[in-house]
Amino acid sequence: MRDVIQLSNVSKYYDRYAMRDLSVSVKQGYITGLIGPNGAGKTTLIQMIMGMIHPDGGEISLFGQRNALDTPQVKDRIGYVSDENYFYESLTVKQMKKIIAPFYSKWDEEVCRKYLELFKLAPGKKIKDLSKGMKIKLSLAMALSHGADLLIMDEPTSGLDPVFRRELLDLLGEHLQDESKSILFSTHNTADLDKVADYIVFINDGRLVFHESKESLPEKYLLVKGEKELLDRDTRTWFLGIRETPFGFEGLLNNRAEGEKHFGNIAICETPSLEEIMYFTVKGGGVHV
Amino acid sequence: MYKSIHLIRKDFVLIRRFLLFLVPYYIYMATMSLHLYSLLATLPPLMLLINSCTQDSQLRIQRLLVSLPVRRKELVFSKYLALLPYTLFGAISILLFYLVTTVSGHVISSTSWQEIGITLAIFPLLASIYLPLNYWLGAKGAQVVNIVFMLAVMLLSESVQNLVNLLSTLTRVSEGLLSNHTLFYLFSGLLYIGLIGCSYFISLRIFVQKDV
Amino acid sequence: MNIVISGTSGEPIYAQIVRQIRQMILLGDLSSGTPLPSIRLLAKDLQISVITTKRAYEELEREGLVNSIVGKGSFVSGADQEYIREQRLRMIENKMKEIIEESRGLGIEFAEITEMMKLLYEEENG
Repeated sequence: MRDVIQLSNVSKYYDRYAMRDLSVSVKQGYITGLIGPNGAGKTTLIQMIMGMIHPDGGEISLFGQRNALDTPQVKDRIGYVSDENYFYESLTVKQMKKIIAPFYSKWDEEVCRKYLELFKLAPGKKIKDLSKGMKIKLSLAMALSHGADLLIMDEPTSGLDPVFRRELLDLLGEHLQDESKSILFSTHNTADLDKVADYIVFINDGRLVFHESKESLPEKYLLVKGEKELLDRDTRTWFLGIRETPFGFEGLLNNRAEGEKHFGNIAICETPSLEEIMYFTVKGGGVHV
Repeated sequence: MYKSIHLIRKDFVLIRRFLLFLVPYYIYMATMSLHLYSLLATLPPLMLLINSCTQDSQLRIQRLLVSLPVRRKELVFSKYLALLPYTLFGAISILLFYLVTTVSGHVISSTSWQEIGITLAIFPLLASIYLPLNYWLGAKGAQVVNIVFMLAVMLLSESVQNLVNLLSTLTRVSEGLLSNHTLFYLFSGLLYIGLIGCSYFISLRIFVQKDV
Repeated sequence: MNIVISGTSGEPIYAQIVRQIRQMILLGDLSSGTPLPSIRLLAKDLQISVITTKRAYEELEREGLVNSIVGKGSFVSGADQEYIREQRLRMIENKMKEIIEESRGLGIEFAEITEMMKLLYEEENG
């Protein structure tokens, strides 16, 4: 399986924040979800892939080409969607489209018209008069209209209503009908990815927590809910994160088989959702509520 | 190269509305029958350049531009290439103004083509100072630079005029000194292009390395 | 062809797909040679991940219910129904053996097991 994006030991240092030795990849033909709490470095990571910011160390390859972040042939194959409004406010939808279109070798006017219609984006409407959700839709329409092999989406679902979020999942599925296409999708709302993501990259505080196939997560992680008496100095250390209340505890384990053997008969064992995995991992152990 | 043309086209779409604002300015100039060429050939092109740079220097717009299949080098190059149409705009302004004043009878006493030429050449030089500063300081810092540049041209237009006069005298003098006219023009031409070239490479160095 | 996925049943999604397609094949709703929807199309329509669908199809292939031909897709296999039924029965037998062993460990009598089984069966059938 080919990697369309590959980061090896990428570092970026800021005054108050650093990304250290991050190595992740995005596989061709699949949806890779990038999750992490706000400030984990999701946007930094995506902006580095897009060549907007330069890493202080390490290397980024796109479509197997190293150091090609400023190469038009590479950008030609990428559709970029961001929740940040990055269009000229004073222009209309149509004017903006006419500015962007000539730069792409495979721009398809017919496809673009179809998406603008589907998203109910009137060509004559000024961009400054669009709501946040509509701006994201415009960004999406632009990204889907030039036959991109790779969609890179930074928080595309923030600002979208639940109805359109579902429709977006359909659009992504549509894109992936061709198995040479790939998607990288960052979000802090894991419910979107719980459904469609094939791989999950979880980063926290500028570091990689894990990079796994979503299918393998339920076999690895276990959510245990039970009485507080079950927690002692020893068992406490097994958990990645624990939430304690006066009525009991919930904790996340990353060794499902061991966990079920120990807690199977004395506590409730569940398969955690992505959100629970993220919550407990970020939270860590021993914090009382 | 064709991408630079599209980038310049984009700049003109963006400054289209601003061009309308220039109409009353010209009317004002005509009624006052001010014949300060710098106010015609330097200020309007400078304002167009500043306007297009201000719209592009917002961080999110820089991200849009970088996300497009265009090298950063080309983004910078297009801004320098756009100096040509802006300068041309200044030249046309002078021409129109000249025609209008001639037709309406407000004949400008002395029209030195040399003077006009030098006035037109001032704008690209100013732009060569402006552009690296704009790339260096980004959206917020450039606001100050914008104001400084516009005020400078407006307030100093009289002195610019004097400077132009001085320069044209100087030219005439040096023409007399230097026996070979072609050599003189060649030398000053090369110096001029060299300065703009320097500015381009400085802008390039700044922008290619920049995190947006 | 109907496939209904529950997000809350606790049964893994791939297993839900396997169970439903298997049932359709065993009951004869899908006859041998019938093409199954492509992995990517099924993933899109069910709004689930490609890997999940892939895993389900691989499981069906392992059970001998489905054949996959590279470049053409997946088809209900030509294996005869008797053979498939045989395989399934063997699986049930194995699970029953597990139940018997567990029950012995807890000292449960055979009569008790059958009683439990009867109750569960009736419950399932409503």
